[in-house]
Amino acid sequence: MSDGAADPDDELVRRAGEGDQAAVQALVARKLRRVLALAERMLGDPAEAQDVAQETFFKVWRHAPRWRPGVARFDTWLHRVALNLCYDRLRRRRERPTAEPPELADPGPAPDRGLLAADVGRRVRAALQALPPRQREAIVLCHYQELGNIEAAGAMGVSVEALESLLSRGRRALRAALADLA
Amino acid sequence: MTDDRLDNLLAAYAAAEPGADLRTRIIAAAPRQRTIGRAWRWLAGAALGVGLAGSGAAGVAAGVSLAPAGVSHLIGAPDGVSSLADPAGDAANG
Repeated sequence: MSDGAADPDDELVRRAGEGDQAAVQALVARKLRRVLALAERMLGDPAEAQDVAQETFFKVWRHAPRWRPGVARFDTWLHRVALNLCYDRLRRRRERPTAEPPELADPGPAPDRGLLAADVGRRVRAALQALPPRQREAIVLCHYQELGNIEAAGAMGVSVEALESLLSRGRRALRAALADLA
Repeated sequence: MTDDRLDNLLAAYAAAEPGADLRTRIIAAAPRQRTIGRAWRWLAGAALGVGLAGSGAAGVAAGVSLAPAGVSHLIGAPDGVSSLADPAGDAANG
């Protein structure tokens, strides 16, 4: 691990791999919400996000018995697994062009300042889904998952400079899409 | 649009909370401790131990029954008689 600090998840993963049900429940409580949120923001589809979250944890259970502390941070590995599953689904969407895309909010006419938070949420969701996947991934990891740049770059398999470029372009595109809400 | 304003807008997109069904499915698929295997291994170990102890006892009994008279005397002398022969006493008694 890059910073040498102990991974707070190592012990839970080890015990979960041994079938310790208390550790299993604690790991799910600690990580499921984050994984589901990542998948939902990447895919824009709550049902697909649930499938990805479930598959992610199934992979965790398969790997937990052989998890070796110190090789990688579990959280980074977990994000990588979830992102790969998201990209699998995004690829399948592109390969099935006749399939209905997930329902996205209709931006509609320019809103006034009294726009409800839920409406703003739908607008942001639509704007995120309109981003190229890599820019969306950078925004989701850094803004929503609150990963540091180094960890986000590690999860994406890119340099920190490349991550920052993706973040900059993504944020620029979001500003343009949401300019009427400024 | 400022960075802060964009961040505030992004925060308005709240992700759904995981439902109970999803949690249940995930936890149900987790590894289980192999308690049945461990119980069988314990029983097997205990049975082996009892068997070895029994074999040991049987071996000792066989050894005693097959031992020469002098050794048998040492091992199982009758009550009231010293396990060591008393040459003076034997001679006095003729």
